[in-house]
Amino acid sequence: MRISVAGAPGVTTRLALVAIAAFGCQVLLFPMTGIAAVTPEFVLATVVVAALVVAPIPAILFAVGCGLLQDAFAGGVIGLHGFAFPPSAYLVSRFRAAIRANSKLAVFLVCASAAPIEVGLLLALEQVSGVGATSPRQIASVFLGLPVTAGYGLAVYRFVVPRGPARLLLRA
Amino acid sequence: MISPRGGARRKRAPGQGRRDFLLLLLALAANLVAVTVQVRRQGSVPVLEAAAHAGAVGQDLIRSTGQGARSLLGGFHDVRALARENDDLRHRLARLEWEVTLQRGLAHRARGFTEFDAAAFALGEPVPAEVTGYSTSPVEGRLAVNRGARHGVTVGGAVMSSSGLVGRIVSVARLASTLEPLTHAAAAVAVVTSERRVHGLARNGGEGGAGTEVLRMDYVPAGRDVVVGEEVITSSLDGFYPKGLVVGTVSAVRETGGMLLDIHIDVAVDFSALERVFILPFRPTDAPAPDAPPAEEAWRPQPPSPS
Repeated sequence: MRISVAGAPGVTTRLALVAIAAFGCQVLLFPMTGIAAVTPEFVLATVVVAALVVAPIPAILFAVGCGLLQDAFAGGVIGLHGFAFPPSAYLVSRFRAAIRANSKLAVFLVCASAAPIEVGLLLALEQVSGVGATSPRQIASVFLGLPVTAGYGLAVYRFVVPRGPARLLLRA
Repeated sequence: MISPRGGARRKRAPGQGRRDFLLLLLALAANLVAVTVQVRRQGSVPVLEAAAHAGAVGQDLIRSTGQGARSLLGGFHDVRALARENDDLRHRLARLEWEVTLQRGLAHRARGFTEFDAAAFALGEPVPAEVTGYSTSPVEGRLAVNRGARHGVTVGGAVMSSSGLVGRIVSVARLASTLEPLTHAAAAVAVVTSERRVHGLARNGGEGGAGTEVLRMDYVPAGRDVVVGEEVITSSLDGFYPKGLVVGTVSAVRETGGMLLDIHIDVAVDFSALERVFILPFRPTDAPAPDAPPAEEAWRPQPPSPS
């Protein structure tokens, strides 16, 4: 039995908040730190968490929207991340029944494995269409940022799906 | 439509998986078309080109918004970095000015004034301070500095700048102090000419008033050899100021026909542009230094204490 508290933010609101935070980190804050050798995928982690907690169709649409928005902020060709995010969202939502959603390690590993999938899709698209120029250094920086990506995803998951007494505040 | 984790336990409707997969294929195809439209140049469909152009305009708008926000945050970050750098530079400037002061003293010593007690310069660590303005009564002609008892300032401490002696501390509050400049009407300092060793008392003499940067050197008997341009330094005979601090240079020597000479001293410090000073701990000149180094090491530069 789930107890609802009037005024408490629901999953949709929480996902919107974490998406804004992810874009803030990805587009505004992280480029200012100058840590070029490590590139966490905050937006991708948010997409993965969304795929864990919402139905597949909204998760795919959410992934497409986030990808297009990230492309728009990045200033490159629109559609690259819009192409690379949905497969991760689909796979996670497809097998989320098999993922032990309450396991921190499972969420951590899912978030960590999404980034290589994204990089692989971007490279494949680059090979097919000739769009983009992903350097080995960029690929390495994404892999070096995997712990941060996975940690961020775990934190986001705990925010969207709180445990303990905070869970009672989650509006169904 | 959206339920937290409920979907995982809910039984899937027939055909749901196929609908999900079709949606994924649709999304991939749409993005692939979008990418293709943007990279295609020759022989493209005008409608698609127009759509790509419109999309590019929207993208520019979003990107410029992001760049603006990034620039704003970066500007704030830069301001903080500049403030830290400014503080660091001020501290380094204070250290350099203090070292210049000590090097000037070394130069005096090298010119042969070894009879001056070099240990008198081992005054302990000076307190760097900034002149914040005149004291509450501008008529007094005293200056306020932004260091007080909390920073180790004591009444009677000599105040120096990189140019020379400024004055001495006459009152101390917790975070600020008041210093009486050499040019104050009530100030006086025992001095000696640096080369010919003629002693006297430098004071305002009531001729100028506050702001006057010319002192008179009194009590110098007629017939003593005083030369214009000669440097005047403290002699420590007044019991307040330690030996060897630069006061100024002799600017005029006149015979008055009486028993004393009329000597004017140009003060070395430009009080109108005085910003940074060093406050030395007060110690009566006849008292030994609590941690005085040997005379050979007395001239080793001592960095100012962190402010």
